[in-house]
Amino acid sequence: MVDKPREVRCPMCGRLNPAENDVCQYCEARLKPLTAPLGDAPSGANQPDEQDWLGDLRSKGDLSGGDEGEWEDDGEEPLDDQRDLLDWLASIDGEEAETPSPPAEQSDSEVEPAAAEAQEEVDLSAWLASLDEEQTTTPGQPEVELPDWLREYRSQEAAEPEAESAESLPDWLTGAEELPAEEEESEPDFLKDFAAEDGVEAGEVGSTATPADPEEYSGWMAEFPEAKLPSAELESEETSPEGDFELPAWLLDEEAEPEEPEQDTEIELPDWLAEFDEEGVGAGESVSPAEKPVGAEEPTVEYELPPWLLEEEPETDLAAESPKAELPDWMQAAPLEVDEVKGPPVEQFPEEQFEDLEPSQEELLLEESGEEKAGETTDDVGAVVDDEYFIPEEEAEPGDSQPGSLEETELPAPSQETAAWLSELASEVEGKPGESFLEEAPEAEALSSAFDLESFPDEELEGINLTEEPEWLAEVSQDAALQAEEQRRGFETEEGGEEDLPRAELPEWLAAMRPVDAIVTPPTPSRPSRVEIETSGPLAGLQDVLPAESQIFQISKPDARPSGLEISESQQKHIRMLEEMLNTEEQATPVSIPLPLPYPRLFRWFITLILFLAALYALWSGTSLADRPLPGLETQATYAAINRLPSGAPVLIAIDYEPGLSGEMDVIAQVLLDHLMIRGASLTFVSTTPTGPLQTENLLAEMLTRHNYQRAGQFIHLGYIPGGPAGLQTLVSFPLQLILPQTYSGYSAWDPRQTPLLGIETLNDYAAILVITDRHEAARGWIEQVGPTLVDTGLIFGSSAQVEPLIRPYYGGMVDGLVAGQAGGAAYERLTGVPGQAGRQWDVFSLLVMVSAVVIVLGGLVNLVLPDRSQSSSLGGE
Amino acid sequence: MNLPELIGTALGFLLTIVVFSYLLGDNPFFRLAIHLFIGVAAGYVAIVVIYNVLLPRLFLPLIFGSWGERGILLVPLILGLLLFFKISPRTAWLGRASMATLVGIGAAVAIGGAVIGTLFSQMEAAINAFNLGNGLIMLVGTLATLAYFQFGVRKNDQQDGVVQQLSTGISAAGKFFIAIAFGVLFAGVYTAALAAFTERITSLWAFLQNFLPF
Repeated sequence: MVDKPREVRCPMCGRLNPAENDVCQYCEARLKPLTAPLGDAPSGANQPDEQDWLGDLRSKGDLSGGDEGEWEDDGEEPLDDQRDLLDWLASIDGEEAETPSPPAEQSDSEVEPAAAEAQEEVDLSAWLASLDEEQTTTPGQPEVELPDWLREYRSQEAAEPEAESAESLPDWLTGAEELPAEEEESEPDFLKDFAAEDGVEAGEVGSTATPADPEEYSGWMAEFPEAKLPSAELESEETSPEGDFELPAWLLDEEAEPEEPEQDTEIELPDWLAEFDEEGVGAGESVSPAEKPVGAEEPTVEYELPPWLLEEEPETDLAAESPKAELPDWMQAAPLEVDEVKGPPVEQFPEEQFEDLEPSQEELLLEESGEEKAGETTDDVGAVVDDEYFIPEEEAEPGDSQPGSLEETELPAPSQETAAWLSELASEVEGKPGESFLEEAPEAEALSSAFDLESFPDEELEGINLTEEPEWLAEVSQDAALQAEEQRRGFETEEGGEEDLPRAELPEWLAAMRPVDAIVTPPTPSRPSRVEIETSGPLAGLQDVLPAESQIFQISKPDARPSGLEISESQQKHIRMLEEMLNTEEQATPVSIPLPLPYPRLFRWFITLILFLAALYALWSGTSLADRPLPGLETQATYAAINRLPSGAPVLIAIDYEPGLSGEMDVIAQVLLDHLMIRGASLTFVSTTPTGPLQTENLLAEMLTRHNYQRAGQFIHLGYIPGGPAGLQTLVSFPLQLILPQTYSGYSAWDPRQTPLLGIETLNDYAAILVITDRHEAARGWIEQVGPTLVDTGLIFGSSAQVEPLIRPYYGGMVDGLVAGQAGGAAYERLTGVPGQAGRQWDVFSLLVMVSAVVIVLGGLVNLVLPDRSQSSSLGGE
Repeated sequence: MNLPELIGTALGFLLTIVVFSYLLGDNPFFRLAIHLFIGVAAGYVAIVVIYNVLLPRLFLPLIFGSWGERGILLVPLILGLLLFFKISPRTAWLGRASMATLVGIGAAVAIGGAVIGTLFSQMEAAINAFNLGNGLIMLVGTLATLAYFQFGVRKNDQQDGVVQQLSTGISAAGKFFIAIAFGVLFAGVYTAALAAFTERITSLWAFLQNFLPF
């Protein structure tokens, strides 16, 4: 419940006075109007007060700021045909005067919806007084600058007596007081929607009234403190004959249609506006949604559009289906707005849905129902009408009825949005953009004059007939209807067209080339979804013209290609074989890894001990367990090749072994050098190994003791040849004098005193080339780089036993002789008959080889006897 | 035996015993002998390179040679000096030209020699050796070895065909020839090592004979 204020602010001086005072104790101005206060009426009582409609405004004002669901009208009371349209026009003003209240006040109105109902019958004078009071309680707010015509009006009003001012009240205001007390206003749905929007956008409008507080009405209504509106004056206004309004032609046409034009003071509006009034405003008092039973029979609140809009409605449906791109921009808005009119009214939805919904959800639902858009559409239609019949500023006088005419046009949308555009229009009229017209219309007189249509020049209103459909809208609707008809005919032709087309018959040869039909049935070609009629070109007007473009742009999944591959049994067998091979390839083959010996070091020592004992036995006993080996073919060929050398024949000897194997290689080298020195060959020593010169010097030191060979006279040591295979290639490609300029000792190698090099320029000048090596890389270097270039020069190898398997394949080709290993040396010694180191070591060597063979065989037997110690593991496993 | 020979023989005997100590496991004496061997060999190689390569073939011609010879020798000099920049990773790119020259020339020489000296000669030798004895063995051994390395033919229990049995038999023969080849290589390596051991044992015995009554 809303408490009655204890103090009343004087509308004149702005000071507070006790509520029971009738006149201000300071300035003696009347604080209470002569009419009974609206707010004092008991809840639910229908007082026969002529100010009921204003009280109803208050109640709506309360509801507008409260629960939005309360905007639902129960409509239990029957429509009153006697209802004046100006009532809800006044309510519009009242709503527009509503402003967003502080949150606390709004919450009050929300928690006390019954209070709003109880204030439905509020005294107009009290309400107006409260408005004035509210205005005075906002000291911080600067006084609004009034337009000139309002100032003039105020000045006139101050000069005129109250009776005259009362007489100047407009008819709609006086007519409103004739309303019976039991008639309570209810708003049409679109008004509720606008009110809901007002609750959201009220702050944007800038009104300051709080819906929950009846005294806090502000805006233009609050600026009527001095009008005071005595009931007597209002009654006189009611009974005064009217005919002041000269309605436009379209309004005059509609005026004849109402069945009961009971009161002369009523403004005759078009049907659609009048029905808004009858259904919405005259539906009776608003009842909270909680009191309204679901499904209860409600009065028809669906407003009806003007005839021209009703005619447009079905056409706009079709136009809405047509693509918007076909319309220019300025036309896209019009059909869309008209189309939105067809949205269902709010009453079609149960109210419970709105109660449970959040505001945003409710807005969405309302948006779906097109309810809001209906109001906007009406608003926009009104705006269009206003634009068309807008009166220029120079033709309008202050206080002229131009604003009123605008509001009359905008009656179906009494919302704050309406106030916004009205304010814009008013500001345009007044030449002060940004000022709200409603806020600047403080006087009731000014409001009445705002609705005065007399101000419209007759010549401007005569030619206006809003009942007729505008041409642009008619064109849009015709286009939409035409397109819809074409679409419908296209579908009909498409459905019946398949039967007319004969099925194509393929020739046999072409059918035989078809893929295997048994596997995949060829899909039925899709037909074009619509039949198009050629509109241009030589085929204009024809149907079923090949729609190449449309099929090109048809994006669909490609048809499945039939696989006509026939697999024979053999192919299937190969496939299986391949699959098995792949499977076996993926499987890791288990590899047996022998376990390590339990005592490896013990076995090592045992084998070493056996070898040492065997060697010591051979050395100590001096017995020969094995004869010297017979020379092989390669050894015999070596021997024969050296034997064929004439005395003093130049022989190139390459010492290419490491000191680590000198024990073996020295034996081979000594055997061959002995034979060469015996033959009196002129020796030239080179080496491709850095340590080769050292081995050469050691070898020569040993050999020179046995042979009387003179350095530089019978042999020469040229040292190291760098570069490996490349060095050998340069040795072949370039003169030796350039490659081997000096001896190992640093002397000039090509001094004429160096007899071994006399007549030597290239390798082919040598009678033979003897390569003593323990490395197969060096052997291959000599064979590959030097061997192919030799013509009459023999290539003989004395190699280690470990290189023999790699050099033997070259024997018979580029290799003329080979002496390999200890056995080869011993065999060559046997051929030469000269005792040497090979023979001395042969007994020990042969015994060691024999012991080693026995150890290897015994080891193999042990492995066969002992259980398997191998462990299987897969490749890459543990 | 004179003193230097005695000292040399004694050192040789001592170092041989130290190397044999490896039978007891890795020990400092063995590592000492190894380091000594490597150090002496590296030092000797350095001396050999300086006195047999750099001085007579590069620096002396640059100093005393003709201008044409000097100009030619500047190329290996510069390339050789650039190799020193390979020491630092930051300047290693400067030695790329030298390394490219070495690798390129070495690869070209090796490939050319392998084609001419090994591939053609081996093919010719194989053709000429095609007699009833060795030729048949070479043919069978080559085919069997190639069949063994034919991984496409695998033992499959589900296949009892003649092809499967023949492929399995040839693969086994190839495995036999491969075993013989590796056996020969191992025998050659073992024989070379055994010859070195024999020379060392003989040297030790000769050294001991100088001090032993027998």
